[in-house]
Amino acid sequence: MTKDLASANNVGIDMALGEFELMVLLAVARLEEAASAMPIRDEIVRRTDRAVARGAIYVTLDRLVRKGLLRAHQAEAGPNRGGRPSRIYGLTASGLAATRESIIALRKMQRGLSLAPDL
Amino acid sequence: MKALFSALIGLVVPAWVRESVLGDLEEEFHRTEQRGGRRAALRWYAREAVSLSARYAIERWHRNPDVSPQRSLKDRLMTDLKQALRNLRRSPGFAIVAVTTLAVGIAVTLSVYALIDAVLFRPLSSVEPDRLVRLGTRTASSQSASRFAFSYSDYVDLRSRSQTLTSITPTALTPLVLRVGESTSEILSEIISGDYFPMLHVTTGQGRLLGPSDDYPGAAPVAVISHRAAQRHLADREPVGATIVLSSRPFTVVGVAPPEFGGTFIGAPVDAWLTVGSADGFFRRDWRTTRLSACCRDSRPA
Repeated sequence: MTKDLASANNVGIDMALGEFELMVLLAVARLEEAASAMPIRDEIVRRTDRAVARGAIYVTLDRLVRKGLLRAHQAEAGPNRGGRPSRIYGLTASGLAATRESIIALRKMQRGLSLAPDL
Repeated sequence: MKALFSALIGLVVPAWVRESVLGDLEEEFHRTEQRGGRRAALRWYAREAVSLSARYAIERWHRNPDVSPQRSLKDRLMTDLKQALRNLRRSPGFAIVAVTTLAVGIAVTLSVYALIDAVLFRPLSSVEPDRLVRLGTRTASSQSASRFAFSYSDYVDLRSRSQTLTSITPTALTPLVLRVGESTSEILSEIISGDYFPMLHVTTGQGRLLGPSDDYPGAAPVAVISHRAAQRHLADREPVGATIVLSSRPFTVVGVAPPEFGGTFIGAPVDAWLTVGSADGFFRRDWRTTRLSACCRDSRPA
């Protein structure tokens, strides 16, 4: 039954998003073409005021790419990178759908509760 | 040092993100160096490299189906077992060789262990082992000594004339049928002289052991049984004083040997001891199949 519900919402069981994954997807959506690992981390830190380990960002980005929720391409190397390229991420259609579904589900669960103030 | 930590990252981080990760670190390294100097930047780099490598190693471990903690030990063992059985079925010749090799190996190991256990771990008696000997005979035509070629008369002669042996006892290993109540079983017995237990310095487990007073022609039919036989055949009664039937002849059990004592035949644990005097019908004095054990005189200076 869980599987049916998930497929009805276009989000497979293995597409279920963790909280940090959702944050990363939202950060990618915000940064658009500038969405490489460190700006994504900075965006999450700035908006949530949480400490985020560099390794957590890389590993989560990798996982989201494997799930097909993010796509990645290499950009030209900037200054002070030792000639090494950076990697830019963008949402795929599945990633966009999964992000929307997660946000909608959270809103539905939150509706009528006064646990958190409206932002 | 920086190159060392870069190499660490190169080992752990997947190839498709390695360059971008190293590039990000390089960029941050420059910023840190400008803010706090090279040493601070190097410390930062080392810390980040170790942390990053650990994170990737953990992630890789979790994703590996063979070692993932999500698979229980039982699942992994069952997978290995099934794989082994499939391989054996595909190669029956190899399976036969493997099973045979294992069987022979186990049998040899058990035999060697039994020998080592009997010789090294279960001392025959409390007397000095280097004073205990077995006698053998050798003829002009034979190359090796025979240890089962004595008669009872040989024993009597040697006992009376020997200057170097303090005591001597004949031992004849004899299979007998033991009957206790309705149950019967075949056991090994040693037919001995009254000197046997005193010579070996065996202490009794229960009751008493056999001595010279039990060894004369027409002696009362009494026996000492092993601790194992007492537990196996007389567990429901007091063994000392019980009557057992050995090959159709009733014997009274006068004692139980201590648990660690099983006779003088290595690898053939004995369950009953009878004196020559009480073993008529089981032992003939003219048989030349008796083994003689003896204790040498102590030659060490006092």
